[in-house]
Amino acid sequence: MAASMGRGRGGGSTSFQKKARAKSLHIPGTRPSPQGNQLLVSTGVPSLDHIIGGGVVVGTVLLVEEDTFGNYARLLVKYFMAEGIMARHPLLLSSAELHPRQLLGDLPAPVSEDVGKTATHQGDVPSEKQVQKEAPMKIAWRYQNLPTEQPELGAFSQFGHYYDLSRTMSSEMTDSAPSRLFYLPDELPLEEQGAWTGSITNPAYVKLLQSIRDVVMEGQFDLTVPQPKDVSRTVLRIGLHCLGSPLWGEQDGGASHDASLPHFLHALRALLRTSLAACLVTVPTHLFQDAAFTRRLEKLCDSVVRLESFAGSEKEQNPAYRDYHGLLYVRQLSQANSLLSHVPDCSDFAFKLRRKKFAVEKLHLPPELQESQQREQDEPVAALKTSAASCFTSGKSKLDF
Amino acid sequence: MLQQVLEGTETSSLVVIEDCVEHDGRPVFHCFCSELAKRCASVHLFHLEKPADCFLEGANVSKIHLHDGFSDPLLWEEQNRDSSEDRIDLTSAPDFLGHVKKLSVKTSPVAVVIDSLTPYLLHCPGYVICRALHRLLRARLDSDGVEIALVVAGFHGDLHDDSTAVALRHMATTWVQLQEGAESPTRSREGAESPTQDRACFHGTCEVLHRRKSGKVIRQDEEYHISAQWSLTSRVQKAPVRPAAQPDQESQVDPTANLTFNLRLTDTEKEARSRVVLPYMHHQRKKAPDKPAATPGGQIFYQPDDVDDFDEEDPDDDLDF
Repeated sequence: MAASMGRGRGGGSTSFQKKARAKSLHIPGTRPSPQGNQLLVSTGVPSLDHIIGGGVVVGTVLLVEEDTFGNYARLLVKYFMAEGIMARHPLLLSSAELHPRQLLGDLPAPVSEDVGKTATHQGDVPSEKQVQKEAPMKIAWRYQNLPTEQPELGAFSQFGHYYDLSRTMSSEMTDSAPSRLFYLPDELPLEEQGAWTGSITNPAYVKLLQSIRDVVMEGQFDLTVPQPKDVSRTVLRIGLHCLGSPLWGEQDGGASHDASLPHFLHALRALLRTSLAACLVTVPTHLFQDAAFTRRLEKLCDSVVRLESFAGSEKEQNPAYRDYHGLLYVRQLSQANSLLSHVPDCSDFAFKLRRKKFAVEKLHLPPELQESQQREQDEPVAALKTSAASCFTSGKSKLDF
Repeated sequence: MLQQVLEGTETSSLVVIEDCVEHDGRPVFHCFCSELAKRCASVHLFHLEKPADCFLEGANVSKIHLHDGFSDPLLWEEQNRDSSEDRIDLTSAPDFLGHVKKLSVKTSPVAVVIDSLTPYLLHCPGYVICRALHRLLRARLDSDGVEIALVVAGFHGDLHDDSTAVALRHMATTWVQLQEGAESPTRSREGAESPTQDRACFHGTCEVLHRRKSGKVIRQDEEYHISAQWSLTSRVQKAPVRPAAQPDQESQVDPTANLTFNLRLTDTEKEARSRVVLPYMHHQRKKAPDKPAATPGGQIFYQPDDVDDFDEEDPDDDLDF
């Protein structure tokens, strides 16, 4: 991939020079990754950036496997687009369900003062903290001065912006970024979408791929074509919302899937490798009955993150998960230009949606505060064990310890 | 929840009612027809499995526009049909919006009731139905001349594979799965109160999955009851007590109940106990009162050295060994 950066030379104290392109790309809204020197763009969610290795590598595809009702995946698309607007990146947004204009009209507003951002962060939960500080610890006093809050993942990076979900971005701001909107029913009328047979590639995907290629070519994001030196370069952000839903004509014929979507992803990845573009795709993989098809889609993208929402499921009631709204699984991370991908320091993540922001955290069990013999979160397990346990408790003897 | 959706207090755009052979969903459909005819300016009824009369009893017929897919599904009697009636051709691709537009009068809100999607799904794959429904839902008054407030569609869950159901579930804002309710004492008593209406009464349980516009998802198990006047009432089913939890609570024998010796403490004894300074607390005690006492004895200033041998096992010096 051509988007990697040459590191600038040091103070000249040594004659050794790293064999790299001396010219470095300075593109607003990007930074080189500490590992592998890749050019990164932020997803708009700093904690997610931290997990996937600093951000989305330019030239790769980040696949988000949607939660059951798609709410949180849609939120990630909005963050990705909002970050693009803040960094003045051109946008390409496609959808078949909601009109992309509707999505763009509902972006989270940036927290205006970047200086005050740490203050507003800490200001979120001041009351609980102070309450806990008052009682001095009698036994484990060494923990007295430790922070009671889990620090937000990647909280100290100065990359990306913070957004307030309770307010929407002003329309002047959303209009300021050059954007190409792709709304499937407008681009390809229903009559032309027709009922196609399996041998033909899905016309909807063909059309979308053509549009992406056109934007890449016209906007001079293609790195294989030499560009005039005086043109300042920028990164194209592509958001594909809910790709592969029934509205895209994804065939749900039981065992066999149409090969159009894997073909599309393959072509998209090839196109992005040679261009200054980063892509976020959300796919409702929970609709696919065939697990192998999902695996195939995952393999055809660079980074894969799966969201699992607790909404409407039994986990909503599980006390172990009461602080969170869902789980985030990291399936695969980008290996562009390196042998090894970034390895996150733990594998269990959960996300929560507060009134103003969406954040990903390390999953941990809530502290045990009840004086019960049995921890609450053990109950589902305990229910299974009752048959085994009953032989101990069946005796009604008073001295049955 | 079912009742709220029916009465419009809970907004929804696509309601899919899944029924099965054991539990027919048509009484619920009938309720939707009569209720929507009260609430909306016009109701478009697509009936593909039963004649329209099945749904019109007690409803305001003047507001209901019929789309007939039952009497002549393959259009064999094309030449001698009444041109004012709208016939549905099942062999062509489904076009709900086209049919609604054909009989449309400029009124709003408009509701569409489809009984059921199953004949369509036998002719074409699920995604075609999803697209047709989506097109119906996003019809706008200025561009299409009609705006749909609510679509209610039936779906026979036991006739289709999971992937079709999942795709439709992805589209629906409210999913109602009807089930045969277990006979409960309350219901049989209701039946006893009105034995004459017993024939017209329907009841059962359903699982409602409703998505609010805000993104909140509500899943409820409900039981519903339909009266002879086709009015539906529903209430949340009381969650069955978890069978595992119940015996667990009972079998908790208190081992300290009848002992020959005393294991309990009175309040004064408890207070005395809290005053006892335990060995692991001595660090704290030392910190507070010992500070002034430490000053006359002089102070030690110690610079750590590389070869210092610190006691790793007890860095706090609080273990007394």
